[in-house]
Amino acid sequence: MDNLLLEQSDNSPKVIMDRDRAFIEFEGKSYPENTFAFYRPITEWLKRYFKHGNDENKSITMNFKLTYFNSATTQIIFEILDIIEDSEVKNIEIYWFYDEENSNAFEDYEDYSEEFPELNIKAVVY
Amino acid sequence: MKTIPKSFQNLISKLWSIKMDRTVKICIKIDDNIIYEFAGRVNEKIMITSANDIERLLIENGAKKDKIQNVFELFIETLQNILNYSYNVKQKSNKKEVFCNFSLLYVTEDDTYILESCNLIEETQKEIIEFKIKSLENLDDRALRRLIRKKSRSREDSHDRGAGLGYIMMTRKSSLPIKVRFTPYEEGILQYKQKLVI
Repeated sequence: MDNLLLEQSDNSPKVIMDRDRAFIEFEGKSYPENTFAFYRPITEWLKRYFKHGNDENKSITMNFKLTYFNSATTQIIFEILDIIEDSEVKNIEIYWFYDEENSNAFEDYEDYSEEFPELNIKAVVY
Repeated sequence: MKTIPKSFQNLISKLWSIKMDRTVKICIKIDDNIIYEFAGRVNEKIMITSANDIERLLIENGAKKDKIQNVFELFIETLQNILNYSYNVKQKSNKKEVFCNFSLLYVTEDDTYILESCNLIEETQKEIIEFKIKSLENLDDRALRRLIRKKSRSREDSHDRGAGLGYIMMTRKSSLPIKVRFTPYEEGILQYKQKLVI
């Protein structure tokens, strides 16, 4: 399967889904007009990758570096974490980057980490 | 509390009364209140421009980061609701466009921002909106967060237009209950006004 790379726009994040490096990252603002359509190829890629894409059993890194996001993106992040939780993959490190001057950003981290305790999501000051 | 100058209110209502066939964007500073006004056709591009303008104005006004995030995200939720649920949304090159107006006012005394918007909706939407707001009004922050998590995972209100989380997010990030007003516009159509205090 190919890597999936999307450039950042005014309302959509930079997306890196690099199979060779086992590196996944979302960075920037996320409020595309049709959020579900924007993320559909991303969630499809993740489903394939977590099912049989990580052949070499590399340790995977996933970074969330989102500054602002809409409610549909909130749901998409849950969907992404659900995909990981439902997979057999255990060797993954998930990092939630946040600005320590912004209490909302840490609350978002709390919500995701409490909802997915087995994923052991780590908070990182950005 | 200082309010939007009468001249601008008149301009907005005049534009509305002629079905807003022009676009007016006003970005001004009066005393220490920042006021941002828009009336006209809104689409994704205008929403992005306005969101970035608002973010810049708040930074210049010395707003804290969590306040900026709340205002920014509620502005986006409001505008995306308008684009998704307004009456008579036009599709241009697969992009939605609709008439609306909105304003952002800063109240120095309370360090709060007031986001008001107005758009047209079908009358059938009234009951749905009132029910959503009513069902959320007694929930505290913890309960709202739990609800967001529950609905996000179950996707029970999710559809092509959104996650069905907009009013929950707006309730959670507003410092006062959401205020809405419905005014008859023409048969089967209402003018929907919404006020968020952040």
